[in-house]
Amino acid sequence: MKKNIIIITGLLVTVAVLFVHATETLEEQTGYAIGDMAADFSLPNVDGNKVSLADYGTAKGFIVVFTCNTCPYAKLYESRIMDLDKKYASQGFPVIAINPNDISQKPEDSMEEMVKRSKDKGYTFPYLRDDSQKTAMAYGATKTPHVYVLNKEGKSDYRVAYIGAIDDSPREIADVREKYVEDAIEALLSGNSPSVTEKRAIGCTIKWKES
Amino acid sequence: MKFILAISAITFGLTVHSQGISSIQLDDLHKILNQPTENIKVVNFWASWCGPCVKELPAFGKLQGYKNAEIILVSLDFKEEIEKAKSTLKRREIGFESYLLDETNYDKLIPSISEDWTGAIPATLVISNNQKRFFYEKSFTEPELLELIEQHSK
Repeated sequence: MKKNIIIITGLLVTVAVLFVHATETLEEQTGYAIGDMAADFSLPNVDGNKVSLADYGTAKGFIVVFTCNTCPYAKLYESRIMDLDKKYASQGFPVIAINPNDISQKPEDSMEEMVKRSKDKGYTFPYLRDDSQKTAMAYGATKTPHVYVLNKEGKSDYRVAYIGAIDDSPREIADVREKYVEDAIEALLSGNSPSVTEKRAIGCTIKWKES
Repeated sequence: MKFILAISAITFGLTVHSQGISSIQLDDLHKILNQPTENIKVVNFWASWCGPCVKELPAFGKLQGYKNAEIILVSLDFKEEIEKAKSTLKRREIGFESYLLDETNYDKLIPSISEDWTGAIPATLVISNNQKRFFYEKSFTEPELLELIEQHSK
């Protein structure tokens, strides 16, 4: 009897260890790494329409930015995100901004407030609401702002070419020495792979829905 | 002895000291983190503009010294906004000495703390008494933090 209990306990512990290990591995694998193919999405835009990457037939790639109305770092980068679209949309790399924040925690990130902000500031790019947060999760975005530069290959393959920060100076635009996103796009435009593919920056944690 | 006092007075005078928060360079922060002690260190990265960070500050404040844990608060507010960080702590009645990290090279700072840190805050690093590091890119409630300290102070 005692022996059986020991064996059963042993088995249970093994199962528990395996289970914990499996979940850990799963967690590590969420989100894209450089070179992965990004999935398309269909999310509501501030203009009332839905937007997908597939809508952009002539695009060479995309600057996908997870951002929001409320994070001070997102606000610091807002004008730079607008400038990126002005500079690169015409060259085939438009900005697609996505707001994934849970509005029960951040009411100022609601579609209504997004419409207001994009109008007030004069966004020239779509500003999409990721209510289910599935797109942010699939990409592995953790914070705002969090940028993914995608390079289009063939008709509908979007390869992740750069992940992370926009540049190296959040507070003072005048102190920017390295423009990571611009450098990545310039490399792609001239047919090369970006030399810098990942740079980290501080940001606000995405407000995930409490399950 | 007098000499040592004089030296510490000078050093003390040189650091930007602002009632409870002193500005610190990344290298010096690492020196503090690498200093072996018998107790665990719980290092919390926060900023006055970060809602979830400010929300969890009182829990960190309350658990200073619990099971001899040393709570080290590191503000990532911009150096120019040290007053904001100061008043945020004051309003939450956190009186112990803490730091504002004077480092704007985030791509150097972030991986130097943990390879697992994507850069989102709040973020918390636990260093056990045998210098093992555990990193958490998440918020903590007071019971969770209590459990964390108990788990690592064994």
